[in-house]
Amino acid sequence: MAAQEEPAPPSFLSKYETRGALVYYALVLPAIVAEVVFSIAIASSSGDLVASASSNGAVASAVQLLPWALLTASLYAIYSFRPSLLVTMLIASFFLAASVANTISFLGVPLDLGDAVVLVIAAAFLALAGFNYGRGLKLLGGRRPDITSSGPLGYNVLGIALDAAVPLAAAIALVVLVETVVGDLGVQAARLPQPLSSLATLYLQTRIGLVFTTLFVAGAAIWAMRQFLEPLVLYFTLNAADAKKELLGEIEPTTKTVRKMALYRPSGGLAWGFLTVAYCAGIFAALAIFLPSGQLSRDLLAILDLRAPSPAPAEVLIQSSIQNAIVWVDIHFAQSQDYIRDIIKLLWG
Amino acid sequence: MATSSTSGGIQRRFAVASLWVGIALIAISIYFFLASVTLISPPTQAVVAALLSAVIGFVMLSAGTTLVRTYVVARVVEQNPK
Repeated sequence: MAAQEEPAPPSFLSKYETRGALVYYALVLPAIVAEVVFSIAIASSSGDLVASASSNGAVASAVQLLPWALLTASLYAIYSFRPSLLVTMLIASFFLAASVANTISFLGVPLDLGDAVVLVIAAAFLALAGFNYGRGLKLLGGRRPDITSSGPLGYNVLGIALDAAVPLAAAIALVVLVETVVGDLGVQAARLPQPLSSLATLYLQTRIGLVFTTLFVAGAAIWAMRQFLEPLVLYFTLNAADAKKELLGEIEPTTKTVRKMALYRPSGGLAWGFLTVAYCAGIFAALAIFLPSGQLSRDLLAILDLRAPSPAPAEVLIQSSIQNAIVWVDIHFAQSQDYIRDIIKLLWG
Repeated sequence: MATSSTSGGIQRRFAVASLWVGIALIAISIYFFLASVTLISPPTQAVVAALLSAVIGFVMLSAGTTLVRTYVVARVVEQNPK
């Protein structure tokens, strides 16, 4: 009986060469292109930061290598399917380029800050759409999606609108809102009382200030959008298992604290006693080593008030008399030793 | 909202009132956002008051959406107790 031929196992690269994978690559490609644009702008920059960093070789190399490191991390994010990492790297490279580079150009066309923001938002939106598409492919696992609907036409239109038109409209609205607010902030800053007016105006005229303000306004707008959309999305999509996870996640810090308090067993204080003794011994040893000789004992005696009592005048007089007497005795004893030595020499040679 | 009521044999700990309070807070936050825009629009030039109004709006929006979100999550859990 002839052995049945088994189909050849798929190669390692086969899953990266499918049509779906190519669509995924095409959707995340603008993010990589944007990062390359920002990296080239940083590498070809002669700005103040790079110029000041060039005095230190390591710092200059780090500034030049950082965008390429971000680009490598982005390629890893695409490979390992991490959308948050890719968007973070994209925004980080944009921030670095806007802070350091003098001009950002794409295919020879210089981009101002507003154009760069539009590029970042469009690339991030497409990248997120690509990750969403890739997630769908992973869920399907090679099966063909059933996109037919038996419902009314309005539901289909609503589904397409929620799936594609609403995110795109939100991204465009975000760009318009951020541009309007940031542009209007310069006018509003001039109306503040002095010196706030001068400080705010000068801050908004710097590149770093403009970037920070843009990011802050964009973050606040995205946060507000999320606050409005999240309850709606939860209302229509949340199931019981996810709801329980959400609730457990919300009370987790409290339960951790309660568990820690319940498991707390007060010790007898012996460990704290050892610790205190070791601490005092360490301080004593350090003082004994670093202070001049005798200083520690003198200070300790002064602290404990154990210094020698000051003698009374009569005692001082007696003490000096006794010392004089001792000196007199010493001198005469030495003289007597000389006399005895001379007598011995006379008698016995 | 620790009020408890019984509906269909299920003890409900989160009343519908929490949903309406959350929506009311969101509506008030929108009013404060609009007020901040009005305060910086000509002829009024109260920039500091506008900033304060925007901050109050953000705080009330956060409180309102947190209340609505908690209500939605609790409602889903209560409808599926097992």
